[in-house]
Amino acid sequence: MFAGIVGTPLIWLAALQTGYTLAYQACDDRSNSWVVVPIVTALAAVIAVTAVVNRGRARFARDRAPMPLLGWIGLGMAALMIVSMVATAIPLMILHPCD
Amino acid sequence: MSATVPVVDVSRLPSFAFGHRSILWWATLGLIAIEGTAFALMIAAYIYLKWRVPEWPPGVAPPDLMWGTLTTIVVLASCIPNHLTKKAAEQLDVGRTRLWIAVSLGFAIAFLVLRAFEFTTLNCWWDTNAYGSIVWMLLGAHTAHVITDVVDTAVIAAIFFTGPLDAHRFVDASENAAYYYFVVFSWLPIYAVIYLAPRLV
Amino acid sequence: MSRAPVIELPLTDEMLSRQSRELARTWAPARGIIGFFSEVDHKRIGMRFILTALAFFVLGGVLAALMRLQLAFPENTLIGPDLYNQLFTMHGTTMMFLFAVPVMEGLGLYFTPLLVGARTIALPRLAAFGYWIFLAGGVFLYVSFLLNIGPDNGWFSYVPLAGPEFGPGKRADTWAQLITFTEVASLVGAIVTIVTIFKYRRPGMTLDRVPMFAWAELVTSFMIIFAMPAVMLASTTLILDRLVGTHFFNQAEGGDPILYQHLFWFFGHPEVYLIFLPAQGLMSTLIQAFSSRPIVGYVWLVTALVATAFMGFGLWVHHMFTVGLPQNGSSFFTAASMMIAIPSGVQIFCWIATMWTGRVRLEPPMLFALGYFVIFIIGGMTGIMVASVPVDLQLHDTYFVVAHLHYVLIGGAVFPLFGALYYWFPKMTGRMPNRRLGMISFWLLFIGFNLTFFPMHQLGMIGMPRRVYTYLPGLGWETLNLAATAGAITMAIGALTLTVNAVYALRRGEAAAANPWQASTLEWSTSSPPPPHNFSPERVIASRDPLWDDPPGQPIVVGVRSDKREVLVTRLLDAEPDHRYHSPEPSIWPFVTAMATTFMLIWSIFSPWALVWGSIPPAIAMIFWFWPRGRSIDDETHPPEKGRPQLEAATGPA
Repeated sequence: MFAGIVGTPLIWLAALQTGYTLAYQACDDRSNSWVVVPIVTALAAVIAVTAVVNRGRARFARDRAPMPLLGWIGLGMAALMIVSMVATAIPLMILHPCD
Repeated sequence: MSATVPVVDVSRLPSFAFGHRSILWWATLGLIAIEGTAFALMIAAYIYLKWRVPEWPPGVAPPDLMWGTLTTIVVLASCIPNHLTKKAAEQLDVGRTRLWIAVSLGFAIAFLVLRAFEFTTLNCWWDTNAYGSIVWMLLGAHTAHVITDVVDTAVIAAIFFTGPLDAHRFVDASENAAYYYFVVFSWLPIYAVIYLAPRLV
Repeated sequence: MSRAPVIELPLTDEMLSRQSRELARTWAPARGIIGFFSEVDHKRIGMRFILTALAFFVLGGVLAALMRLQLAFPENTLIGPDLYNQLFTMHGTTMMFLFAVPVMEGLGLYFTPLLVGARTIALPRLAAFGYWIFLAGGVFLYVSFLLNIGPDNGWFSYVPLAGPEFGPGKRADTWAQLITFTEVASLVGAIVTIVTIFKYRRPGMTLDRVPMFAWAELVTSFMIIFAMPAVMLASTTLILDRLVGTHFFNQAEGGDPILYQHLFWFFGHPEVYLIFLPAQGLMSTLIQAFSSRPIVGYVWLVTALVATAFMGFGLWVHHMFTVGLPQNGSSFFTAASMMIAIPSGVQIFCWIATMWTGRVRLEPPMLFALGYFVIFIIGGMTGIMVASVPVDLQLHDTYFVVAHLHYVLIGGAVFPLFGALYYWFPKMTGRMPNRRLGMISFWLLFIGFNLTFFPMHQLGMIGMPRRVYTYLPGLGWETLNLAATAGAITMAIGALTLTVNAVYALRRGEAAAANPWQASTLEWSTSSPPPPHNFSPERVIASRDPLWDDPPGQPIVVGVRSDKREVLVTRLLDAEPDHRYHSPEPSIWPFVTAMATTFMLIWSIFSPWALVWGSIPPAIAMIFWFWPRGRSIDDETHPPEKGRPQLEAATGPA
């Protein structure tokens, strides 16, 4: 459950950092794929984690007291991370790699 | 005949605990998180600086492998007495804790001595260039942790020989062993960065 | 499954009050001068943090007032450029490091145990050490300032200006070492808070019943642990470059000044959330209490806190948009900086829903909370604006940013803080503050604030840069600057009114009952001010708002000793009782360690050998701190002789 809460933001932060570091490479190769690929991969990872968290939350729904809260926090985080990653990808479709 | 009230009676509960149930474990974990983050950031700074220059290490030879690798081997071996100290402490065994904590202390001191030699074969000084600065910082920061661990272990070992002893001291010994694991395992990525990274093409 | 089942006992009121008296004796603070320096009572340590931080707030405000007086007229000669540089540096450093984070830490230290129903804080000696280090750092900074060796490179002290080549003398070193003092104080406060909230909660207080301010403090403490090491690294590398000739930031030898900026802002952005998140917890607290209903959307609010905390770590490059980094990399940080508004927005709607469906009482704390809505939302809007790279390229280092940051920090943190201090004043002091003075101080502060900072948006857009000690006439900046200065004076009067209210209430205020605001959280179930042991009796919790929703006759927790300082440690998720733990007694060693550490840190500005020789006194002090004072009086903690059977209870499964 805790892994569900911290997992999706950590994936997002990793994607951010990887993409940011590869921004220089993208300019060298004139290709934005260097930065888009980490984001898309991370998006897939987050969706996978969300599915797991949701299963966990449903299983605990009738069970021990704080688990439903942790489950909902995990889902909320995942939703926000998905939105953020989509938002991050949008400028990359518009900007030239060497801007 | 007086009325009774519902109560939760906790008087039978123990007055100490090991592992994640203990307060000291959480405090140690907090310290590990802080220092671990610091090391991670230092490694990130190393990578950042490496990425900024074409030649790495710039103008000097990489650190000699011998002392660093020897330290790493000794330190990994020291996990055994460390583990045995932890186990003995968790069983509240005075005799075995005394034995293994003394052995662990010996290994930690040996670690420190080997580390002193490591500094002499880095092939750079902290003021040679930025590379030298970050290498000395990484090694120096880790050494500071080794020193504090040696002092901690020595103090706890002393208490085990002089007293006063009660179960809380066994929890101290157990958590100290946990902290030592951090000192050992944080060394491995730092070793890789200092000694192996400059040798990567 | 629980090892402490509910049973029925013939417990009379007389027995409970006898226990209460014994507890008061056991937990009584140490007396005299030695006692003052040995204090481990979290309420007293928390109060020290709060009062010291407020004193620094006043000092920082005076520095700001001086700046505003200088800028009231073009080409003013009240303050010269060199002193002006020191003023804005000291103002920023004071407000960020010596006021904003410590005051929230102080509130946390005071109220976290009360909110979670514990007798005291975890690791109280560590908390005491944190206070002394904080105080020492602040005194050190101001003494340096008065001796004319205070810092003058801005609150972030960029290289190369602060580096060895362009920053001679010791000014930048005093800044860097102040960072060490305040960062150590924050880190220990964070550890203490996390352990208290995780392990010291009252039985029955499962994680989903923890009050909002405690959640905020918990999340903030995690942020502190991961953010502070970055500024530690930045300040340490700065001192090393200046003192021993390292080349971290020396471009000629492979270093990079931008590395400094990355290290600093990786901390610097989360820093503002460290200030802001506890205030969001305070907002939930105030809105709930003064809408007379439980907060709407507890799950959403907790999620928003956690989300803001994580996302806060992904924004830092937005302070570096003008440094020359690639735009498609910077765009990530634009996106993240805008997305972080989502959790804030969710919180605002939850609070509005709470007020909408509740019965709002317009007491001064509620007014301060409402002030947040206006001011913080404006600040958030301008934040979205500067998050955009093209806009920021024009507005960076102008007064627009000054306006933005003060709107979010003062609206987002200071207003809720003043509201909370008013709200909790009766609990801390046992006196009610004066309502009319409270209203007056709110309006003076609200109007004064907007008059000071709203014109700065315009000033920034028409080109006035930051950190200039004067400006030429004829640029159209005069009226706006004069208005800002008038606003600053108004704010000062408002702050003075608050102080007068506090002092007057302490002397002549009416006595406060246990729960004057009819609030719902546990701190209101004990007397005002609380006894040294916080609560007696301690009842098992059954709901999120115990004073409103718990059924009467909840079981009382018995069996924790009252003849020595003992607390009940409970389990992380469900707060089931786990074991009893001996809470440390007052001790002088945290103070001695702090003073020894202070000596070492100040010495290290002048010589690197301080880290070798100067570390010996703190090490010795810490050994005295931790050396046990005799054996525990519980028989079962005495280890058996070798070969005899072990104690099962201690090592059994949780």
